[in-house]
Amino acid sequence: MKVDRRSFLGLGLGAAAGMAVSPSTWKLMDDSSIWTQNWPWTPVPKDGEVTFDNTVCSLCSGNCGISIRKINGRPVKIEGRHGYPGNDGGICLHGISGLQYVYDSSRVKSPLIKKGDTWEKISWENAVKLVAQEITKIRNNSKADKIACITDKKQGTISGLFERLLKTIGSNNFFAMESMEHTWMTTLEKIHGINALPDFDLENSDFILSFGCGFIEGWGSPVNNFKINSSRKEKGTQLVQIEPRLSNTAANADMWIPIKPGTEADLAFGIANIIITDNLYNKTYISKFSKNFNNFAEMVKEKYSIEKVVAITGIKELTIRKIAGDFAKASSPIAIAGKGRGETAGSFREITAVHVLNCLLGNINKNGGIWTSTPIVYDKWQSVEMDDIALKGVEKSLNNQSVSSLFTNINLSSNPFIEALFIYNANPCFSMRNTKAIQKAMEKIPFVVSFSSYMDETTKYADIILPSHIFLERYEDITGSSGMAKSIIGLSKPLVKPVFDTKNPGDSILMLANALKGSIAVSFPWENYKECLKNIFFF
Amino acid sequence: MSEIEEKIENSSVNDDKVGLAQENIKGDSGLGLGVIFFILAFVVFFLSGWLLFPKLLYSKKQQPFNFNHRLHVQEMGDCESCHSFREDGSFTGIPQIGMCVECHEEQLGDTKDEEIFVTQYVENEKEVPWLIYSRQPDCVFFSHAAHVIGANMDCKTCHGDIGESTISKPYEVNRITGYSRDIWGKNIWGIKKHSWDSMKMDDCAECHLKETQSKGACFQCHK
Repeated sequence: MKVDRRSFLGLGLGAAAGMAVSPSTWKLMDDSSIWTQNWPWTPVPKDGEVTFDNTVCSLCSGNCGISIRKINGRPVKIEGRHGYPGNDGGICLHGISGLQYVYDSSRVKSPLIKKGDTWEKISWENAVKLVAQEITKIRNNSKADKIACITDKKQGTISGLFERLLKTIGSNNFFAMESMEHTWMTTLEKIHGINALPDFDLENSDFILSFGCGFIEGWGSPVNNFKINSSRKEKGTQLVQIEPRLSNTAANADMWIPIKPGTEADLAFGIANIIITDNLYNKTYISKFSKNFNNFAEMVKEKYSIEKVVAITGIKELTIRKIAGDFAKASSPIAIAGKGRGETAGSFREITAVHVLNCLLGNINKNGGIWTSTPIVYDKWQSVEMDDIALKGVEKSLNNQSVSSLFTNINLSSNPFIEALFIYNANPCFSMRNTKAIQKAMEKIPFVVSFSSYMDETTKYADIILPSHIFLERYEDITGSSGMAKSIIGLSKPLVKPVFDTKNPGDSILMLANALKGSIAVSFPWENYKECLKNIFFF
Repeated sequence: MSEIEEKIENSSVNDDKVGLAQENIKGDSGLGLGVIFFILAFVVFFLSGWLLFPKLLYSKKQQPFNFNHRLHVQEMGDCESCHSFREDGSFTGIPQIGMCVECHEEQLGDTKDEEIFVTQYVENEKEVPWLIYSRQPDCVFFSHAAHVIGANMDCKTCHGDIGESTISKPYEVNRITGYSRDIWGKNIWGIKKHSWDSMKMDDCAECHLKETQSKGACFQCHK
């Protein structure tokens, strides 16, 4: 017997046959097909216990109640909170994507100090020490009144702490970014003589006359507005949108009036003229509450006659008459103003002209009209300790100025008009008119401290950044819900462990106050912001 | 037929006869050895595919420490005392340490395994990294509530006698797929004697066909 080619063939065939009838071939086929479905580099979300935790969204002035879905304590999704006033389970696209902000690549990840054109990391202790040194230097040079602060709003404990810090340092220059709410408040004060917030009862209105409000694009309380908008057809509520641009709101409205930009006030006065001339106004209301109605009637008759208004606004007479008639004949009509999302101050003349329409029909403090509500005070601060520098500074410092006039003054003055600026949750270099002038003014301020969570257009001009937690990482009282017929105070609480080396802005202020020592430190006796919030929140 | 043609034909016939005879002698011996080689290789490869291959395919891992299911069932009463449903109907699976601590804040017995548990995990507030024998692939949606509460099925139908075990068997993981051996089953041939012997899709389909007269649609599990 000789080992030849056939023996090898036998060996090979035997091996193949043996392997084929053994289970390994079939098992390997199954395994390799499973392997191709589970590439090891494909990320797979971790499974675990599902829990929900509630907080308040503060991405816009809507301040919706939100519910966060967590897997093993890790937040994975934001949903609307059921039963919360305003949004009741609903949520907007911005709110849904709120978790992305936690990991946003433009977040400031630790305190930073500007060195030339670059930023360098610095510890919290050193950063706060440097800010304290600079502020002390300014105070010692009797320039405490030249320290200013800009935040997003005046309400709330964080703004309260900033205002308090400024006062104990020796300055009154505490500013909040202006929104339509400020202008509406001024209007209510000038027309009715009251300090009140406007609450728009759009839900119960049957005719909404909107002068450029992005009603379903983020104006007021967006989710509440979505709901009102979707029930409009059922309820038979008319929406007339007066806006130069075919916005989403305009496209959704029953009637879109493309008006020449900037002539909204003229149209409002023109409509007022028609309502008065055609005797469509609420005579009981006017005789009861108005003082110089005849003067006003004459003024609009003379200045805003239909011919003039047609020429100014570019809208046909028939259309103007139709709007005026429909508006006046509706059972609960409401006229609203505040361009776009209402995040800028807008024009006082425009808002006044629009509110005059509400007054003419007497739909003030009525269902479906405008409610005037006194701002709720729920924070009770103990009195501050002020040393001589602080007392003198506060006496000297400017008051009652607006953010825009502050920047104008900075640009006009040759000496530094403002020596140091604290800026928190505000981005004037992006959101105000004439951003070039604002940028120039920012460059002229010798020392800028930003408390921003993100590297934005304004933070770019900071000398030191003390980065804040974002809304999902911190405690804060949330006031607002502008544009709704209710005033709501919410409490936001940390649902995510801080991802970066940031702090609650309240804690940063307490740390800074302590570093400034003396009467300033004494005025901030709280261990941390949470304790401060607990102590001064008295509801 | 020409002479030459005849010659050629004759000679080829003669040659064929001789050749065939020779081949028969050689072929017998060659085939014999070939058959032996064939059988040898067949047996070797068949046996290794059956017995050696599973040993290479699966790697063995030990659980962090032994868990005595029988003892716990005796103490607690049933499976659901520890493997419970949450309020929303989802299944907790293996309990987290918070549940264990309700009894095991301190060592109750004197076993080495409990000592490891208390000193390494309870005291450090660390979850036990259990290796889950019956973990299904990520592409599979499985609702315990639908089966245990909805269809009133017994845990044993799929998980077998795990409640009777006194020690934790080694966790065997498939080197190619990364799945537990319990999904395919212990038997490499895929032969099963009990309903809990394997947990592949076919096993789900088999039971669904029997109980609901339909194997079910793809998206019921692959969402």
